[in-house]
Amino acid sequence: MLRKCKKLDISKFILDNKEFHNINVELFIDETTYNQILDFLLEVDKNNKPIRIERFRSILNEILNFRYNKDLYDKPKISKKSIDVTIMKFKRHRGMNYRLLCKEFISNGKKIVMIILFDKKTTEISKKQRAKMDSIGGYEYDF
Amino acid sequence: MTSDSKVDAKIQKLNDLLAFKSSEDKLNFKAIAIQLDILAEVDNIMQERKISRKELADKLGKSKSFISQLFSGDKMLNLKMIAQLQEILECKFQPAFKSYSKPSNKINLPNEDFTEKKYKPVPINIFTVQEGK
Repeated sequence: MLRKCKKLDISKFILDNKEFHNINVELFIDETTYNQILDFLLEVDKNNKPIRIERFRSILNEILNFRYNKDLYDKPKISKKSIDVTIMKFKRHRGMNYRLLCKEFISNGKKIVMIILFDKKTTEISKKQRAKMDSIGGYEYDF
Repeated sequence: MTSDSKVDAKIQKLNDLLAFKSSEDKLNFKAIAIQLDILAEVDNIMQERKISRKELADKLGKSKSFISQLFSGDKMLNLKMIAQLQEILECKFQPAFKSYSKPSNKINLPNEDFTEKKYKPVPINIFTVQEGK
């Protein structure tokens, strides 16, 4: 059964960056996690300053340049099942090392669905994370 | 406000936050983007030559975590480091300005009499191997 997702509007960022005007990439959020992921991206510090926007812009820069980067937007290729699973990497904050698992779909451009947020505790990918990545590798969406 | 409209409001807020607040904000981001372009090229050369991040850190006289911060744009490159990278990679750094109307990652080829053999895309490299190395 096809999963549902919601399109993330990044038009203002694209508009502000001339080099991306002709790039066909769309971002989506899985409907089961969109509240959690949006709250995470919008989180602010005690001075009400957003803490993740700068990093998210850098991640978008890599995505819109069709690049992978071990420190921002990685494609770990740990198994055949999870070949299209990618990871957005955020800065450590209050001891939490957040990662956002995504799945890429290539067809008439690129579609990326942001799916699960987790706190990376070790340098290695755990068995549980590996299993989750394999499972996400099989997700299909109704775009 | 319904659940759906709350989500739409959050998406709109995120879109607003992603837009640059000032020319200073835009320039700061553009500086990081230029650095990421340069380091993507460095990363390609490192992979080709099987140079690890640890080796690069040792040769630059920096820690592995500093290298990670460079590659994520958290720490900024300076011209002296680029000069060091030239020495380490034995490559010449060749910057180039290109028009926005012709994105550097797209190469337009004529549709007619296109054959892979006839038109091979020319990689646009920032670092080029020096002759005699």
